[in-house]
Amino acid sequence: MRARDRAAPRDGLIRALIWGSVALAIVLAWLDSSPIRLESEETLEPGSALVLDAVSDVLLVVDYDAFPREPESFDAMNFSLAWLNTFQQEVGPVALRDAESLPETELGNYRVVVLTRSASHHEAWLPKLKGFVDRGGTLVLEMPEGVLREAFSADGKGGLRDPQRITMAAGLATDQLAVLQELPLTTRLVGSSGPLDGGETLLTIDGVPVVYRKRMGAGWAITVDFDYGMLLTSVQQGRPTEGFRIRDRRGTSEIETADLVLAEGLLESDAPVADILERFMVYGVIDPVQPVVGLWPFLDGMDGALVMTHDERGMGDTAAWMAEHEHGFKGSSSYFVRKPGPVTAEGLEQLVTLGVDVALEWNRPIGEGAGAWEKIGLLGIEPAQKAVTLEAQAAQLRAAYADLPPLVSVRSRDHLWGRDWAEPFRALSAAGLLADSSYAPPPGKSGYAFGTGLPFMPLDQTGLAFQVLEFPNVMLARGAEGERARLEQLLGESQKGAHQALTVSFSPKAFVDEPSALLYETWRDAYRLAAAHGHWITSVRNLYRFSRARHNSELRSRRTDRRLDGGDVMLLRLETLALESGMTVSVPQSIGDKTFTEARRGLNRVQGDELLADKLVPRPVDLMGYQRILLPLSKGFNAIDVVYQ
Amino acid sequence: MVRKEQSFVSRFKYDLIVLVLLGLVGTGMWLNRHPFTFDGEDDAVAGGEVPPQIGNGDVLLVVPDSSAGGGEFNDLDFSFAWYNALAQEVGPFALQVSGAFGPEDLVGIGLVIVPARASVLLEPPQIAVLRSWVEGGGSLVVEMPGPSWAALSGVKEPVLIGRSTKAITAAAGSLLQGDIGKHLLDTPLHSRMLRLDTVELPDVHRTDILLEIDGVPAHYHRAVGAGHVYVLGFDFGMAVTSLQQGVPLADFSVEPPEHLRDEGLDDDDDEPGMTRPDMLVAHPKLRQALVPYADLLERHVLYAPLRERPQARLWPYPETLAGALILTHEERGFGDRATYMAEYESRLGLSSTYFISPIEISNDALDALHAAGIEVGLGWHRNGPDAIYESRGLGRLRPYQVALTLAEQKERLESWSGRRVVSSRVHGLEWDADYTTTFRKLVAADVRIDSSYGPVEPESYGYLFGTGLPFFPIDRNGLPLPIYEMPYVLSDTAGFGADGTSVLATLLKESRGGYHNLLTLDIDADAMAHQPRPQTLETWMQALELARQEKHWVTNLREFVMFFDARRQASLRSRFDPDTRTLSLTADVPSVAAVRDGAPLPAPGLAVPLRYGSSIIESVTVDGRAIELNTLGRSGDGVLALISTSPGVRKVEVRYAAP
Repeated sequence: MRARDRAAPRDGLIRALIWGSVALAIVLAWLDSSPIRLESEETLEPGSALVLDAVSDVLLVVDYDAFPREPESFDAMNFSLAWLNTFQQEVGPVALRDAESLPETELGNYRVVVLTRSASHHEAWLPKLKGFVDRGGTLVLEMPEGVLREAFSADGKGGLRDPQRITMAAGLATDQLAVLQELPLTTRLVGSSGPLDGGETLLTIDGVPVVYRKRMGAGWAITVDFDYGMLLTSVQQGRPTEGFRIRDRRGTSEIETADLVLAEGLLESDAPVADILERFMVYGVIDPVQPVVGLWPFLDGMDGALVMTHDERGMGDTAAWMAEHEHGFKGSSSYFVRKPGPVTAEGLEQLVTLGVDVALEWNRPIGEGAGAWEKIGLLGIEPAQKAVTLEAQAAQLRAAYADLPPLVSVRSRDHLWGRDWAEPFRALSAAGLLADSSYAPPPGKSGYAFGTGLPFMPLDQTGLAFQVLEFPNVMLARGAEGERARLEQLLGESQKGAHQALTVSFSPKAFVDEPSALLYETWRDAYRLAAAHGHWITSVRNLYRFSRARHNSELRSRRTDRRLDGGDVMLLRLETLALESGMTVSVPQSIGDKTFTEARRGLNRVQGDELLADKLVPRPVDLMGYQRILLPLSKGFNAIDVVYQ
Repeated sequence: MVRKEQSFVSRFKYDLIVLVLLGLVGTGMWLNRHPFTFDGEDDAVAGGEVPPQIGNGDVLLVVPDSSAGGGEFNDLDFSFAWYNALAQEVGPFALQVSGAFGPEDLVGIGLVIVPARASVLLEPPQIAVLRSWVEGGGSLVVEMPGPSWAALSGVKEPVLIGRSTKAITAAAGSLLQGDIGKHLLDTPLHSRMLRLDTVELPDVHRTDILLEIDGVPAHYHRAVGAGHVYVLGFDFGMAVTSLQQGVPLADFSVEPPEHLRDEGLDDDDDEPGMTRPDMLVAHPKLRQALVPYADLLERHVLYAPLRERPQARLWPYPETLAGALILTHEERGFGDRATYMAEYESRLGLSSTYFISPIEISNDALDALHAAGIEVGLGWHRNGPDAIYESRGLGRLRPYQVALTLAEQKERLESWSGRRVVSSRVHGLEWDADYTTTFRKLVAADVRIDSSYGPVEPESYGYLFGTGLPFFPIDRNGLPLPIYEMPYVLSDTAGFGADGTSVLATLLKESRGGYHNLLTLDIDADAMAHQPRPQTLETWMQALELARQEKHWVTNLREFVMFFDARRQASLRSRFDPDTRTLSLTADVPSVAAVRDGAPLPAPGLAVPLRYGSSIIESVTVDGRAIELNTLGRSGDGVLALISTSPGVRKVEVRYAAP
């Protein structure tokens, strides 16, 4: 008995050891096959207060002090920086100043000054602004207040209103007006007791004049009495709900960028509605009174761009087959590569050699079992996994191949976005990624779901800007019936007048997961169709670089009346510093009653005793009904005289 | 110590029992995931057999009633190569074994063919019957005749047999002229021949020598009475079989390709290992052959009698089409995703053959293939790493798995698809290292069409086996196996190269221009998943478009064989009256319904010599109705005129102009 008594605690210990070990082995084996997943915090960098000292005809003024620091909702945001999108898209170089520096700013250096909503209430600026207008400048005021309203605009006594529908847009083609009229007006307008005396109404909403202009002295004052930036941002970037949250509106259980599309009607929109609005403001409202000169957004003055993108989706080095084909005709594209993932250093080297824009596919830990995870464990037992952050994914891709060109472009896997409206852009900014192409219509739909195909600068919820350009997709090709025809239609309309960047996605992995002959045909023919429609076949990075070079170039114009060969002519003298080859300047075909006759580079230049007449070859283009002339530029400084007679 | 151990066991007996049970469960689970594997064993038929006569034509093939099997490859009796040649070039023909041959077999016959072994077996009285028939106006082709044929061949003394041939050195008397005639001279030969240079050939004019091999007359014509004798001094059957079926080693074994050479013999049982069909290719130049040499040789021999006596045959393609194109797609376990090619082809109203590996694909996908008019064949997985296993055991415990045999795979696919499967291609082109064992296994599993012969190496393409047309493989007993081999000419892994379209375009263009062939392409449905490149899809799509441009019938293996068999089953009798210069013929082509939609398959065109002597066709009537001469098709070699007909009985009269 005593021996048994002595053995009992020892047996218990042995038994506990045996069964504890068995239980531990079972638990570890189970965890090894079904590890615990740990979230990782993304590093975030908020939007920043931009100031641009560009040499330009256009000055935007914002007052960052008027930006709410922590707005509670989308409606409470300040959208003044949306104006920057408009002018960068349509003109290129634009100066942007904070309100505090305006008193020291020489307005005479500019031909157009835009006081955005944040900066339209400074009473002290009135004399300076009046002087600018009197001397021939054009002042644009967004929802002005106080003395500025009294000086330049209608009385505003109707107060803030929720608008319903655009009712008139002067000079806008019927089909474009119809597109604008379909747009849900997620903005606010200022009503007045009556139209501005002597003013010319250009746009009305619900019958209320919201864009009107009036000659004052030698110049013009243009009032925009609705929150233009809010409307533009709602269309381009999407409109979140309260607390900047996104709802799963498409019932896909995950939130994709398609859930950001403002209205159902935009999902397959043939017309870039945001660009219609922007071009109306620039060419329909400002240009008739102050000729707008801009740098054309596409290389060599081409009619548009086809931005070819490929999602590698974990296919590995064999995904390069599309790039090999493109290399055959010197085409370029963006490959969104997954890291961690199977693409090797040799695979990346091959892509780089083929001239591909190697980009990152942000493999977010969204969705069942999806995302990039890092195993955590010891001795081959890995019971836990930790999500790999965007920053770490970018770092892994950069480290995977030493000679990788700077990583610029990114796309979220399956265009997943998450619940927060602006957080992904904050993460992209923190990771130093500059061009995103996550925005896309839902599968099976194609068109300008975000009102544009042109890259735009997204805003943070503070209203400040991200140093990122968003390249919205117009088509995620899947091989559906009619896709090729749809692409041809979009290219045709872009060539005819829309002049767009069409970002399209063809995944090489689709031929593994969902192979389709129609998909191949569409992809194969896309290049031919793009070339036939005068489109630049390029990558996200190339268009990003070109766009940034265009924004950072210099462009000034001066208008003088002269007598030449016995007749009255108008000279538009342009001075521009083009930072890239293949840039083109766009000038109006007509100014007032005078029509473009010719353009000469450095009219008065002399070589020896000869007067050089370096006549430029003009190319007329129709930009959504606005007639423009494109003139080629050389890289570097250009002085051009454009003659209107 | 013993007490202590017993004490431990007794103290922990329940724990140990549970631990053992847990261990057993763990072992069972482990075995379920890592079962023992066993190979499957395929049945094989014993050998080839004499095929039945299925058609009725005015060409009679006399085959030996006893075959010379065994021994070495070079000793094999290749008489049945003639069977293949006639099926390919003529269509319907009559068949008689040498022992039963008599004068009644010659009724309504215009041409008799006596292969080498039959020429040995025919008795002098039978030869005398043939002689009198020839003297009455018949045409005779006799292969390597001995002295007993002297009255017909003109060679009285025994002639030495050379064991090897090198090259065709002249073919001035051939009806194949121009570029095609030049290519005939390039034909690689693996044959034996009579040394006719050692004897005199009386009554044979220089212009009667139709072919010379190594400078020695190897094919000549001789007028006998009112008839004509065509003597082949070389083993035509051996030459054609070597090209079409390939050449094994002397003992009928086949060398494995280099990467398998170390595994050539299984250490356990000394059984030969595996090889690939392309290891049988008769000559290195065939690995990049844009010329169907076997077909040229057949045409040369079977065209020759047309010069003296016009005779009809059935064109191997519908109506007056120039050839046929068959797209084959190996599914290779790609599953339902593989159907995208069928969808595209169906959209164009075309068909193809899918070789399905019965692993992943769903019944719905098989139904979709059927609805799209696609033929479902079997992708046969051999034992080895790619074998298809079936796990076996008790209840949920499945500790071992057995590779499915060919018959089991076929049965599984038939049960999944609910339809009979007749075609097959060996997955990975794994071939038994023996001349005909794989064919024997296919026949035992009731597979009727194989399409495993073709290029494998990336730089190979074209007619590696001298033809694109179906042929019956000759077994080691000298008799044909009842299975069609339909070689493919291009594969997405072989021959596409940097610009696969150009090879394909050349093949199609030259097929229309004179080679008139069946071009079978192998484009795997999962090619873009494993070796993605645009050329694969481009060549596939271009093939469909080019086939239309080059007047080729796009079909599938089974449909082509149904057409080919219907052509063989037809009745074709022709009679030529030299006085009126009129060829009268009656053709009865059976109507066959296509598997895909039940619609009748098109009928083969009627082919007649375009010329008789120096004159060309003056008029053609079909069922008494004159037809415009400009509606006649022409073979690219300029020898045949093609008359488009429909199934049923047709009476045709072709009149040649007076010289």
